[in-house]
Formats: sequence, structure tokens, C-alpha cells
Amino acid sequence: MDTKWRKLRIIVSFTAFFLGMTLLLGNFLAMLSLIGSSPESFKSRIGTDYQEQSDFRCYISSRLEELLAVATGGKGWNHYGVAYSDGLTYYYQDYYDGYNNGWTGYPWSEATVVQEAERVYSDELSAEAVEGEAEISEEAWYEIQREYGIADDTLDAIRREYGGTGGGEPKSQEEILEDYMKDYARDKNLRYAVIYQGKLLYTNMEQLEPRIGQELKDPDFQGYLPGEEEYNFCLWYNEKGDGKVRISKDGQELDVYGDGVYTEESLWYVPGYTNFNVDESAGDAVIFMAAAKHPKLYIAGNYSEYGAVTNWGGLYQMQQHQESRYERYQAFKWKFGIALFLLILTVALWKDKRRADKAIGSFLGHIWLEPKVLLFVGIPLVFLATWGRETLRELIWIYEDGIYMGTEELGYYFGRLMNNGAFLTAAFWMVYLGVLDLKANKGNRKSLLGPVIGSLRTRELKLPVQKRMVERYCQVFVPAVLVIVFSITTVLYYQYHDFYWDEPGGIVLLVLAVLSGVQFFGFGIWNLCRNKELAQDLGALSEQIAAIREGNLTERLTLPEDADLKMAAENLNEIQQGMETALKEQTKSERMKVELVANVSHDIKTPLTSIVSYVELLGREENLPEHVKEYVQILGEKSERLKTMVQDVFEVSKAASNQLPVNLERLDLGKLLRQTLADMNVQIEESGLAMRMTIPETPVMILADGQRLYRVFQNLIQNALKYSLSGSRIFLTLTDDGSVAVANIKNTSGVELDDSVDFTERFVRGDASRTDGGSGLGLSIARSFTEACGGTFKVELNADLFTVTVEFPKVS
Amino acid sequence: MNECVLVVDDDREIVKAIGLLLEKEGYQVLKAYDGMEALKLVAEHPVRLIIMDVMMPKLDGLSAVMKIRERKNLPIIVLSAKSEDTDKVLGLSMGADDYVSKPFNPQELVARVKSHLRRYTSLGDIHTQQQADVIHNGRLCYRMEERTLYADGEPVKLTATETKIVDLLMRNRGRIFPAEEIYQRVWEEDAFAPENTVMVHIRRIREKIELNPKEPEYLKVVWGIGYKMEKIENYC
Repeated sequence: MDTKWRKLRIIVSFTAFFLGMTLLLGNFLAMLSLIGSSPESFKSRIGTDYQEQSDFRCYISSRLEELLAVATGGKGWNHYGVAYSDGLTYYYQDYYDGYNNGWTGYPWSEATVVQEAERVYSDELSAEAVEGEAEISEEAWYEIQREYGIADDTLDAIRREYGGTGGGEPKSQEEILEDYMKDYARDKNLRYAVIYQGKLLYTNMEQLEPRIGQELKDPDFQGYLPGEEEYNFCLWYNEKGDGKVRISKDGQELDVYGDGVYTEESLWYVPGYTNFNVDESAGDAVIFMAAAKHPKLYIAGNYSEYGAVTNWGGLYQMQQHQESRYERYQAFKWKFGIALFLLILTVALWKDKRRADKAIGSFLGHIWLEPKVLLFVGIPLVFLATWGRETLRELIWIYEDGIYMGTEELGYYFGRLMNNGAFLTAAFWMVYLGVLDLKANKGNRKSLLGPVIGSLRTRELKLPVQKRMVERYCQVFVPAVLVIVFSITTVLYYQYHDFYWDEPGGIVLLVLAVLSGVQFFGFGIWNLCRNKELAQDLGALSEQIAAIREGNLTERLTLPEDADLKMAAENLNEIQQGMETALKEQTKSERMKVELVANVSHDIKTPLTSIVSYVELLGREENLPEHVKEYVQILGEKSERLKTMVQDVFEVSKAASNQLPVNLERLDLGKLLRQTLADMNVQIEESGLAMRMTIPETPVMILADGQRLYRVFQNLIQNALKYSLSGSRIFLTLTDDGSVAVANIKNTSGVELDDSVDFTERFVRGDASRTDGGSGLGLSIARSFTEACGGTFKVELNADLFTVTVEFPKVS
Repeated sequence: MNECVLVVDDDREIVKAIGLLLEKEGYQVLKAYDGMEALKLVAEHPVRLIIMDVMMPKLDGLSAVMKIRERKNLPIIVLSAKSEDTDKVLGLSMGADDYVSKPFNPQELVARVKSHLRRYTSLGDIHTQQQADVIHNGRLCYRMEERTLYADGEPVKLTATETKIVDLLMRNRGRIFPAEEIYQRVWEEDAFAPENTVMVHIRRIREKIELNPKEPEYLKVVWGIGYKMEKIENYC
């Protein structure tokens, strides 16, 4: 029950909103056109009295102008600056020309009505029909009848006359003027009398007609009107010979002149203002005009051999318009009232309305994107194709003259532009739904092309990256071809159809050409983005390679799932991972090795202590036989060797895993060598080998750990002493080439050495049998210590010449 | 003599060997095999010197040293298979007077024991003998007037040249002398290849004053620079 009620409220709220907005927008522009330029005009336009309108005043002043011109037979008071060269007025010049040319022989004031009919029914009222040869279809006539409210019998009369033939000889100007005035007289909604120089020239009042051409002094014109009640608007010109106009309406005198100066705001455009004078001949004319309170339809046919036109009377039309406007206004009041009520209802149910919005938004999410876009673009396109030409023209009018137009005119044009609000409403709902859709379905688009693009992308991703890039550049041609095709088609269309640029077909083509251009640009930008991503990924990848080269093995490169270089990045990551694991394991095994060696050497040291101690005790025993003493001495020597070896193993394993503490200081390598040699002097002398030194007197300063470096050279010299051919020489040289100090020890090997062996490896000895008593660690320690101090250590074997080179960068 | 030395190590053979070595030198030897036992023996007997292993069950050597140091002021020599510098520093800072790493030279150990005992018993408190013309440096003591060097209170027999070298180095303890300078100042003539000459004398002096001449504590080579007399803080 509750949910049902809630559902109902949601539906009601949105329906109210929908109807309210539609009503409001659908009528808003039409309403705007009704409002006019000022509050006064708005009041007059929605009233029931057509005589309050500016149109009416215009009509009256034009008529007065015309009658005055006809009366004086000369110049009027300068309408649009046209002077009359041949005594005929500007107005019936049109009539005359049209009559004689068999073209548009309408009195100008009625022309609008007919033109309107012609515009609307141009198909039916074809050129032939105007020329009187073809019939107008039944339907067309009924349309006209309904549009203008013409009675059936009148219509019949018109049809009879329209179908008949008029014609005759071409008439003189005077004759045409007579015809014109006759036509004019038939509209009984406007009664008039024209007196010139005391004589009655023209009138359409039955009681006065017999007196045409006679003298008429100070007549009581109103008295001649067929029914005084019917004609509530009366105008006198020059009644008292003062050249002024007097107007009475419903028996009330109107203030025509105000403060007597004519301005653009003045209501009546008639002579008699202090700044609005007419020539003297007008002073001889007296004119009376009376307008009907409720104009009737009078139809005046004008037929000739060339054509037939009817005159349906301006005042009648004016009144009809006024009524329809009034009705529309009443209708607007209702519509806006209802709209307001509905919108208030919407506001009251705002929460429900928002739920409705959400529901609609999520519903819209289920629709594919493409139809939506198609509708969004297509509806305006259809509109353009249908009304495009007029719309464009009206847009141009608004563009050119918009700033001179009042709101009335602008509203009118906008109203037409928006096809009486239908388009505005449609546009609003389109945008509204679009916004709802965007809000509800952010980043969650259901699209027809989506899976297609997705599968294309998957296919593309299977290609190697270089092929992918080539393909991508090829894709640019597709939109380019579209642009070219549409542009050429459009150009050809205009070239060969010779149509104006605002033809519907042309507009559609133009729009398509523009759209293809837009999509070309869009594609270009999209491609640019993709390539930009690729370039960035490429940059990231090379930076990552550089980082790995620098030794950063922990940070991984993560690229988006669909990046072109995803595979490359992943491969690189795996390489990195492998390296990291390998390095970790290596470090771990090194550390374990050192621990193992430390433990082992510790465990060896303890029993060794006992051995050394007891050998010592044994050595102190007196009364030992000579040979036992010899054994004890050997034991002592060997245990001493063992002791050294344990220490060496420990240190070399530490040095190999970079865990050897070094204390770097500036020292003189030359001095260090001399000290070492002095320290080992006894051993050297005992060995029977000759030592040849070449050490510069000047200090050769390097940065190293003196204690460690002493071990290096001690080992090297011991090595040379031990393995040299007896009686040979050991050469020790120190050279200084400016930036590097190079110490060189050369000796001739006592046994033949295999030069494929790396002598600096641990436990490697020149003699593989290991019977010589060395530990095999001497060179290894020397190399490890040298490298720990930042030097380089090199062993070369040339035949029997064994060379060890130790290099250190010099410091100042 | 018959001074009482306590030897503590969980390795019975080592204790026995050290005991034999010391008894041969005429010392009375007490034996313990763990820290607790050592503490007990120290409390019960007039012990003059302790040789203590570091790694032992129940109570390790360093902890035992700390406990003993709370009550007794007697020389303690720590034995350990650990030979790293950091281990030595740790041992000495915990209250040991000397640190000997295994495997040790038995003669050296005995020499150290003798040295410590002599200074502890015969020489007594160093500060009471403070004289202006006497330079104390660890086990060494140099009387400038007499131009005589004493090691553990015993005069060292030095030749004239050796005495000159010792005089130079003892007066400038801690300073490093290049071989040329030593040669110039001792022989008073310009040096030509002085390293060998100086080194020979240094080695001889070492044999007279160092407990283990192969690993000198006092007369040291600073490789690549020169020679120096290490400046060692006096024992208390």
C-alpha cells in the first residue's frame, strides 16, 4: 500500500512537471509576441476593442493621407519622401501598374491578406490560377473560407466571379483612379466623405452619394451615417478650416494633439501639429471618416482579363485578429494558470520528482548511446531541413535588424523561429533528459559501438606494438575520406543545382560536411591523445629501464590495462623481479656463508687453543728424545699455520661479501712499500732471493687502509718469496702516472704454471697437489683487501713471469 | 710468591693446560668451569688474578667479570675465540684489563699474567709515585733523568741508539714519526733508505718491551706514514 502510494506520487510529480513545463514553454514565445513593446500596447492588444490598436491608428492615418491626396489631386504630405510626378498618388500607382500589367492588381492595403492566402496555398493558387485559367481546388477554397471566416454564399459568389473572365482595354490613369475609388467605396466598414473646395468629391455614404459633385457646406456628416450606433469612431479633417483633425469615439472627443508637438511617441500621425504641416491645397479639403464598431466582411472583387482579386476589408481583419488575440490571451491565462499550478505541485512533491528523475535517468542508461546521440543530433537536423530555410532567413533578419526590433517583433520572429514553441519545448526536454542521463550514468555507458570498439581493441592489442602503431596511422584516412566525400558532394550540389545556399537539401549536406569535419577533428584529437599516452608510457618505460640500470629493483612500473606497452612493461617487471629475487638470494647466501665461516672458525679455534697449549707444554718437557723434540716442533709449526689459516679464511670470506670494515686514510704508498720490505727484511734475506725495488722518492699519496694494504703487500711478497725460482730476482716497482699509482711485483715462478687458472680465487694454488704448505688464500686475501680499499688487483702470467699489479687512484 | 690465579673456562683441557703452564711458573692455580663457580671461588679465596673465558654455561664470562668488578679490584684477563675489534672493545669496556683471543700463544699468556701481577702487587698504586720526570704509558714507565725504560716495573736493557729512539717516542707518545725524521733525530745525519735501519731497531725494542712482539701493543707501525708509540691510558 505504502509503496503503491509512493509510486503514484512519483508518477504524479513527474507528470505535473512534464505538463507544466510543456505548457509554459509551448506558449511562452507566443505569449511574448502578444505582450508587445509596452504595457499600454499590451493592454490595447488583449482588449476587445480593435480601435485601440496602433494598427488601427495607422490604418486611419494612411486612409486620411490617401483621401487627402486623392482630394487635392497633387502631392500628399510626403510619404516615404516620394513626390508625385504626374498628379496620381503613390498609392494607386501600384494599383494602376498592377492593373495594366495583369500582375498584382491589388489595392495595397488589402494586399497582405491575399498574399497571406497565396503564401499558405501557393500549391493550389498556382500562377495559372491567378491568371484565371485554372480552377482552385475545393479543399483550398474551404481552407480559405475557414481561415478568414467567409460565409458560404459569399464564397459561392467569389467562386462564380473568380472563375469568370474580366478584362477590357487598358485604362487611363483617371479611369483606374475611378475604379480604385469604387473598390474602396465597397468596404462599408469605413465610411468617408471628401470635400474639396466646397464640392463633395467622394463618399460611400448612401445618403450623400447623390450629391457627389455638388456644393456641400458645413455638413453634419454624422447625420448621414446609415446608423449612428454602428459607427462609433468619427474623424474630421479641416472641419473649421484650421487644418486640424478632430476625433470622437463613442461620443467622446479624443485629445489628438497632446501638447501640440509631433514626436515618435504621438498616437496620431495626422497633420495639425505645430511641427507637422501640409501644403496649402490640403487646406481646401474637408474629410470625414467613420469606422464601424463591429466591422463586417465585405468582399470587393476586382476582375480583369488578366486576373481577379478580391478585397476583404482591412478593418474586418483587424477586428478578427483582435478577437483571436483576445481569445488567445484568455487561453494563455488558463494555460499559464494550469502550468503554475502543476509546477507548484511539482515543487511540493520535489523529493518524489527527484526520484522520478533518477528512475528516468537509470532507464535512459539502458538505452544504447548511439540512438540517443542520433536523436540528439537528428532532431535539430530534421528541424533544420524542414524549416531551415525560413529559420535561417529569420535568423538573418534577427541578426540584421534585431537590435531595432521591439519585443513584439522579436517575439513574433522567435515564435516563428521556434515553430510556436514546439521546438523550444522539444529542445528543453532533450537537454533535460540528456542531463538526467549524464547525471545517472556517469562513466557507465551502454553502447552499441562499445563492444565493437572493445573487440577491435582486443584484436589490436594482440598485434605487436609496431604493427598497432602503423595501423593507427592508417586509420586517420577513414575520417579524412569522409570529409573529402562530403565536402565534394556539397560543393557539387551547389555548383550544379544552382540553388540558393539555404535550400533544405543543401543545408543537410552542409551540416553533414561540417559534421564530418568535426568528427575528423575529433578523431585527430582522439588519436593525438592515444599517441600522447603511448609517448608517456614509452617515457616511463625508458625511465624504468634507467632506474633498473641504476639498481632500483623494488619499484615496479604499472601501466593501464589497455596501454600499448603493457606487455613490455610486464616483461620488464618480471625481469626486475627475477633480478631482485636473485640478488636477495645472493645476499642471503653470502651472509649465511660468512656466518658459517665465522661459526666454523670459532669452533676450530677452541680445540686449536688446547692443541697449541699442550704442544707448548710438551715442548717444555725435559728429557725428551731428540726425535720427539723434532715432532713437537713440527706440531708447533703446523698448529701455528692452522691458526693463521683459520683467521685468513674468516677474513677472506668477510671481504668477499663486502663485510670487511676498512678505515680509509691518506698514506704514502711508497713509504708503505718500504716499511713492508723493512718489516720482512729477515725473511727476504733468509730466502736467498734478491729484491729489486724501484720506488720514487717523492710521496705517492693514496686513500687506503694502511693495515689492510700492508697485508696485501706482505702476502704478495711472501708469495713471491715462496714460489720464485731459487736464485732469481723479485722486482718491485711503484710508478706514478699522475692520476694512478701502480705497484708492480714480478717474479719468476719456480714451477710451471697453468695460465688458465685464476690465481686470485680462494684455495687456488699454482701447484694443484697442495703439498707446498700454502693455504691458497694469499692472493685471494690480497685481491679482496685491495678491492675493499677501492683499488684494482690484477694477476698476469707470461710464461714463467708472474706479475701482480695493484692500482690505486692518487689523491692530492 | 705463590700468588693465587683463578682460571675459568668450560673447556677442561684448556683450564688444565693453563693451570700446568702457570704452576710451572710457580703460581697457585684455582680452577672453575663456569661463571657461578668462579664467583664462589673469588668470594672464598684470596684470588690475585683471573683468567676468564667469555662463552660459558650458567653465567657467561663478561657478566661474571661485571659481578666481580663490583667488589674486587684485581686484574682480569679475558679469553675469547672472537677476535674482532668490536669484541675486544666490548670485553675491555665491561671491566676486563686485558683481552687475549684464542688460540693464544701460551708464553704470551704467561707473560701477560706476570705483567699484570707485577704491576698489581709490586708497583702498587701508580698515582703515589707520580713524578715530574717520569712518563707512564700502560705497562711502560720512562724515567727521563735516568734515561731508563721500565716495563712492569722492571728496567729494560736498551742500547744507546734504542734508548734514543725510546726517548724520542716516549716523549711524543701518539705522534707519528716518519722513518726519515727518526733517523735524522737519532743518528743526527741525513737519511738514505732509513726504513730498514729504523725497522731493525724497532724490532729489537719490541722484543724487549712487548709481550707478543709479532702483535705489538706499544711500538707500532703506521703503514704508509711512519712509526709511533701508542698512547695507552694507565690502568687503575
